[in-house]
Amino acid sequence: MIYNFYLFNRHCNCIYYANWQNEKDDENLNTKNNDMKWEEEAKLVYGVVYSLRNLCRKLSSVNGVPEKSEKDDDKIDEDRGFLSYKTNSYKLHYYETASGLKFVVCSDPRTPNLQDMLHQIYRDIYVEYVVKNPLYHSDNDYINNTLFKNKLHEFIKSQSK
Amino acid sequence: MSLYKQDKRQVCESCFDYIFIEMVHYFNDIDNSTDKEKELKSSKLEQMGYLTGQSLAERLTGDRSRFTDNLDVIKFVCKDFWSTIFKKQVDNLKTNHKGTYVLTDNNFKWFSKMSSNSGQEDFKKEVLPYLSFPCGIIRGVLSNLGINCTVLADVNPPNQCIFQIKTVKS
Repeated sequence: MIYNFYLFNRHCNCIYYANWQNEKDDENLNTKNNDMKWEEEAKLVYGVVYSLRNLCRKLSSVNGVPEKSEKDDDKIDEDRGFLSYKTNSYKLHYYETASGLKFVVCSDPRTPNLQDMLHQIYRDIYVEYVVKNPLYHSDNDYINNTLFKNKLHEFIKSQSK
Repeated sequence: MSLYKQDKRQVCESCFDYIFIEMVHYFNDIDNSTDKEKELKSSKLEQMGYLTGQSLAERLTGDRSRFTDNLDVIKFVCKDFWSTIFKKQVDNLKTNHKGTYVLTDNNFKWFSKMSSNSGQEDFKKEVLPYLSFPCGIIRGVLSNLGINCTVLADVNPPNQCIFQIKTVKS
């Protein structure tokens, strides 16, 4: 079950936000978060994610950047720095692309690692329907195109089953 | 040389997608140009399409026997040509038998990722510059195969594309 989705660009702006938790009543989250505007919420989330990422980098010996070793693929995942954190009511997953886009998803605390899913969103939905969309000009605008919205919605729904 | 021979040459689709976007951007710096300039620029794009179309016609008809009439040429465009360029055939072909043909593609490949950021109302206006190049290609192919014509295009959201071909008697 996925609660919401944030996409931040390199300039720290939230360029896309989606929320799926209203359809299913999850009382704990609804009461807390709906008092806040999503813009405010996104700023807070960005702050948390940004600080955690930097903290993880500083504490790690390899600077948070994975060392390339083709032999042991399992290790790469562990070296990627900050991936997620978990509380009693939700789990936050974080994925950063080489170009500095930050994908954040909040989900049910029992959800396993969602790195692959976030990567898939980036590769199959963001690149295809935003980067390759001739009518999206600036990378600093809020993404407001129906094609992207629908594809993301479909994808998330198909994953939540 | 023909596309159907064994060493099929390929072009990365993403590369084409990006160059197509940039091509149109380059010729349509919409904010700071007058109407006359815009017209000039879109005719430049159309001209590029025309030359591309002419070359493509040459390349794709290498293995074919001669065409019998105009309809035969149009059918070639709808089937072989369309599936080489757009990976599918034209969905609907209409004609009034007086030299006007209407080609409808319900899922035009080059527009399949297009979606307006500012709502559906502006969609048609924003898409307009992207039509010149494909129109030029069609005109180029047909002219090289012996049909002089004008090509007009129209779009319907999400990505249905209608090309109207009017032949000109020479």
